[in-house]
Amino acid sequence: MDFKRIYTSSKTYIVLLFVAFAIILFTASMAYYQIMRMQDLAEKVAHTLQVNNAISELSAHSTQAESEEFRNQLQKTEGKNTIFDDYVKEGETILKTLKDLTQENTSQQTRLAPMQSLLDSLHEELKVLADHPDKPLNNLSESEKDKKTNVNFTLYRIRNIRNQMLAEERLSIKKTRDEYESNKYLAPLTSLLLAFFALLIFILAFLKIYRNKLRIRRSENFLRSVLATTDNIVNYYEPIYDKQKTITDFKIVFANECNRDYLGLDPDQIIGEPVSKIFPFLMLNGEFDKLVNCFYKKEKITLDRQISAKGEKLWFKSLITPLAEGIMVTARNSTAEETAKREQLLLNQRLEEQNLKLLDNRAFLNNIFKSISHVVMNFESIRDKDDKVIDFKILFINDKITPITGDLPEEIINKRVSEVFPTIFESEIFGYLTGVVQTGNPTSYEVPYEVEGAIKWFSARAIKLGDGITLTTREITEEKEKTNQLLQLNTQLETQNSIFIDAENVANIGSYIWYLDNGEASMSDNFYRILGYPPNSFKVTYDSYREFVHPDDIHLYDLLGKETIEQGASQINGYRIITKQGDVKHIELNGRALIRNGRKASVGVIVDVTEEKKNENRVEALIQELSIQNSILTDAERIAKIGSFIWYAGSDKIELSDNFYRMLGYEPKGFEASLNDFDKFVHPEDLQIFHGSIEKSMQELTVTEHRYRIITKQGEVKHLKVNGQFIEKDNERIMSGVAQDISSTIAAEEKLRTSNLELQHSNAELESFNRVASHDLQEPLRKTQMFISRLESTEADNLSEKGRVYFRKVVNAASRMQSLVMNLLTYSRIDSKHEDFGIIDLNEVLAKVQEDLSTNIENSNASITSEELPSIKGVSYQLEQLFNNLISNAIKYRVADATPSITIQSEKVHSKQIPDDFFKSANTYYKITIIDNGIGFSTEHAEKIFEVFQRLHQKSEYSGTGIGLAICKKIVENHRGFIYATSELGKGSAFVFYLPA
Amino acid sequence: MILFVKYDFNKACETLLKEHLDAYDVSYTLGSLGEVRIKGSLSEEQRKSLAGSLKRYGIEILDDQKITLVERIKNAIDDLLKNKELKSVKVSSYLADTLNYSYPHLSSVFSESTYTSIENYIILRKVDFAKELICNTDLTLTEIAFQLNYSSVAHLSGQFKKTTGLTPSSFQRIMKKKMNYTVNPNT
Amino acid sequence: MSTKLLNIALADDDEDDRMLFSEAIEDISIRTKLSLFNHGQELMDYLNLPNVILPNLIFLDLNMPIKNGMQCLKEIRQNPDLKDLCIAIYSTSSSERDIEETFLNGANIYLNKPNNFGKLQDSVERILQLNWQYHTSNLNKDTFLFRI
Repeated sequence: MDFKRIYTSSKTYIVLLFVAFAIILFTASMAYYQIMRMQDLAEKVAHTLQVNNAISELSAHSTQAESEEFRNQLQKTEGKNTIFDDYVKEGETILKTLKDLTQENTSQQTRLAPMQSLLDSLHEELKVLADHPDKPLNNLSESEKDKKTNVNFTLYRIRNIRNQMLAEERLSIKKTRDEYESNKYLAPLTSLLLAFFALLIFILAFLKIYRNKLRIRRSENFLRSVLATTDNIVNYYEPIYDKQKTITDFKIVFANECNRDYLGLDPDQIIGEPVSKIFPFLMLNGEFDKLVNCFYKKEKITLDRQISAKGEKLWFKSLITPLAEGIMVTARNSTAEETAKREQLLLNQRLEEQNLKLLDNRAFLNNIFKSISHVVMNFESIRDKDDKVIDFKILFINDKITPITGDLPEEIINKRVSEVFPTIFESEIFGYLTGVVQTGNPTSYEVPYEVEGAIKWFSARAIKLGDGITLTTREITEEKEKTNQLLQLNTQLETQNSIFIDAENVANIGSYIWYLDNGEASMSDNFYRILGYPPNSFKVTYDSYREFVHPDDIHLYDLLGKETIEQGASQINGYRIITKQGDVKHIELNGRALIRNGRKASVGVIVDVTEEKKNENRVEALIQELSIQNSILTDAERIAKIGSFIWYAGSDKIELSDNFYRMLGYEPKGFEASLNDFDKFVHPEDLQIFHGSIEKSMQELTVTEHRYRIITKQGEVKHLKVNGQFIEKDNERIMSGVAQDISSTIAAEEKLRTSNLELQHSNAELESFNRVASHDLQEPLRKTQMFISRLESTEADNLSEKGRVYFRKVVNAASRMQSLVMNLLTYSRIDSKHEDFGIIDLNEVLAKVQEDLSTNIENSNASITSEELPSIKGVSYQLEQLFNNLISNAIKYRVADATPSITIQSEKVHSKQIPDDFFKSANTYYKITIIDNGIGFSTEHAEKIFEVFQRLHQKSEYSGTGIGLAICKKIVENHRGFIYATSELGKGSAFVFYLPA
Repeated sequence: MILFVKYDFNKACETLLKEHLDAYDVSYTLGSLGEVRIKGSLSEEQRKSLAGSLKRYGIEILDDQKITLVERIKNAIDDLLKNKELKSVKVSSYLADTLNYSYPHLSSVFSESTYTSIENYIILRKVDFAKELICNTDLTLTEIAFQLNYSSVAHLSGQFKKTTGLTPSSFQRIMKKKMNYTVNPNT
Repeated sequence: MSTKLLNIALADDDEDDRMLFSEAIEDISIRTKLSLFNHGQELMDYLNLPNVILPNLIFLDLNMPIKNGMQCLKEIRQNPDLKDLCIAIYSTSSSERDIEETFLNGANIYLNKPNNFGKLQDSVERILQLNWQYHTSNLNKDTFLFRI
């Protein structure tokens, strides 16, 4: 609704009303004026009439004078002349009246002016007449006659003036009449017109105003409904003044329905009430002053506060607007808003906190990424339209990548992995990564990467994250090297250990650990041997060992035990034992207490001094030496046969470790060591090498591993392997190095080399055997059979009965020979050349074998059931041979008259689950079991059957060459597997083989 | 560099035939199954020179009625095998219908001059197709078996093995190796 | 064409084998003309003769003095005049490696010397039949491999 239009239109109507009012005023004034004019005209007419009267009187007066009678009278009354006096008086009064009447008419005045004098003269003349009363008139003397003429003349003149004046008055009347005539028509007409016009305007204005009022009422209704339906409280207050004309309160003039909704106030009831009663809160917090201010200054104000109403806390946002004689209050319930706002605020706060935390975390993470040596990457999968992962996008990578690939993280982020690591598709890594994305299972792998020409190893762990992976990579080159070194060291140690064991053996030394808390003990292998037992053949404890002690020395042993437990050591250093074989041996020992695995223990060495009993000194020295070492096991240098040395580079000064002395055959510090002196230990043939390596080391300041031989004090030749490095010590350059006695290693190497050669020889022999078997041996046999078949077809009829029997036997023998040769050939041909290895589906193998054996299977009615078999890496024809042999065996060695039933089972097992003692090169194996219901064999033969030419049955009973299972074993072993069989005679057998998965 | 080519035998032969026949001023139509219908006739000399020029391409003009028939049988079999629409058609009736002879007659003529039966020949031919598919396509054995109307891979494998003495997979292996194998005369 | 003689050559150093082979081939339904060679060199010399009638099928023993079967095979396959000849290896060896190697070097057929005359006859007959098919039908000689 256009309020503005309503408002402006009513304004125009007010203007119109004013106009109408003005016109009415004008009309009224005009009427008044007309009336006044009419009155004026009437007066004028009356005046004129008066004037005419006066003039008539005047004329009458003058006419009197003319009359004879009068004159006579006048003369008669001589003496006492009262008539005349009255006459004069009368004349004068008339003139005066006339003068008064014509006061305003100048033309009449001027005409009147001579009148006075004329009257006077008349009067005079008349007087004259009166003085001469006795004389008749007709007899009047001349003088009197004159006098009489004079009066007449004056009278004439007066008459003349009177006529003039009358004419004048007549004219005036006429004029007035004309004027009246004109006014008589015009005035009422205009008044009427104007009155009508005003009435019209009044009606118009009224109509308009009435319509406006209707419209206003409509708008009012509209407003009312708006107010009723609005969400906002809309109230209108008008001020209440006190006597001092200050506002003390407001009266509620209007309140909408929302008051009820929000505040529970009935708008009808609160209207008319003071605000202070209904909304007491308005009087608080200076709000009232604000309202007053608003009212006075005509300013809008807003209030935003919480109010408790209906027992609830509500937020109201009020807008207060001055309006007419009061103020309009619009209050919006902003509780929800406020709550939301507050929640938003809280949320914001929380978010901010979280953000801070996140920032912290990120900083922390970044620090981690900075401080760790891991390369951390986050990849996002890139998929093709088949949803196959074809690449990865690098979302994050920390700066540890830089030293490896030279890439800066910011440069490679968002690139494809294949761009940054182009080799990813060549290696199996991509497979690993896609695997992780697809399965969600984390994976770890190790991968080499070329960094500046050197191969570095990295261990990576990939974890699925979203549709991508987080890849943590760590350089493990050093670890790997260390592992390798450790492995090497381990091997060395093992070697040394075995050498040590040998040494123990030779020296009749044993060692032991004895836990003092519960008597548990362990002994070295040689200790067992000294006791006459194979190593580790029984569990040893303090008490079980006591059984070996010679009865005469049992008190010593007990004392030894007691003292050791109490004091950690004992004065007892020897006793006798009786071995398993009944030999009495002298044992000397030296032990020391220590804490091992958190337990008190005594660790010691025993020496079988039976032989050397006489040579007390030597034993003592040995024990002495051993006890100096305290524990053989802890003296790594000695065990590893390593000696260390320091050479003050360029000088003659060298320092040798104790064991180096020993390696040279001396007691520690047994001689004054110098570089020159050392020459005499070096094998003459190796002197050149020795000096050469020293010179080379000095030039390059690095030591490369070199070997030379030495001759000990005792004349023994030892091989030394030497390595070392230059270091700065106290401003001196020294070379510190280690020399290892590798005599035994060299001996072992030598041995290995010879056995290798032997192996090559025997391999070559085997090869030539193959040749022989495959061709040379087969040729004559084949030809024999060929001619047999020829004979059979052409000459069989010519043979005698006996001849035919012999002939049959020849045929049989030849065919047996044939299968023997073929089997041997197969056996020898199974070699472990891995070039033929491929992925073989054992199900296919089995199917083929079943096809090959179909005649056999059909003839025997055998049933073969198999589980789903795996695919393995192997040589197909060998695996076929394996299944062929096992299945044909199962059919062959069936219980007479029984239907063979063969079951093949497959199972994936972890190597740890395989109890059987064979070298397990893989983590998991497939265990394949072929179970039959045949004649079986007794368990004692379980191993024998896999040997070449081992037959358990009579030839006639079951035909066979005795090579079949040997072939199986060789094939399985060739596949790095293991085969065995379990059976019970008459109860079928199970052949089990493991193949690496 | 190794170029792998795929060729259509029939088209190649047809083109060759046309080229050579165009040299003689005769009108002719090429029938299917290696038939050339010549309107009118060729002189003995023309015939000889045509035979000579075609011989270089391994195309012979057949004289013997029976041999001609055998060739037509073979061609019909080739068509039968290559045409997938004829998969379900029975061979005997197909041959009889196409060649207008009774099947027993065809069979006896075929055996007489080829040392083998039509059935065996079909097997041989199918295995030959199988070989071609194994060597020149990436199809799996299952797909090949399907294409050649074998009931199963095992059926195909069995027939393949029977016909060639080799399993399809070892054949494939050998052929693959052979392609990369260069003969070294010194070893 | 069925009246035409099939030219067969056999190179084998073993006299017995040559004898047995010729006996076997005589008895089969396909009419043949067999040429025998004592070793590989003899065969090669023959094949290299001018205007020689090339055999339809050559049987080659692997193990022969002077020039063994494998050498012959390679020479034949490298000779543009001979390379289309059909070659069957006729050997005692049943080693997979030998078999594969001969196939790789271009042999079409590998026949293990059987230990039964009847089997020999059957094998030779099958080979000749098959060879016949390869010569008279649109079979792809490049993929002609047969093991018996």
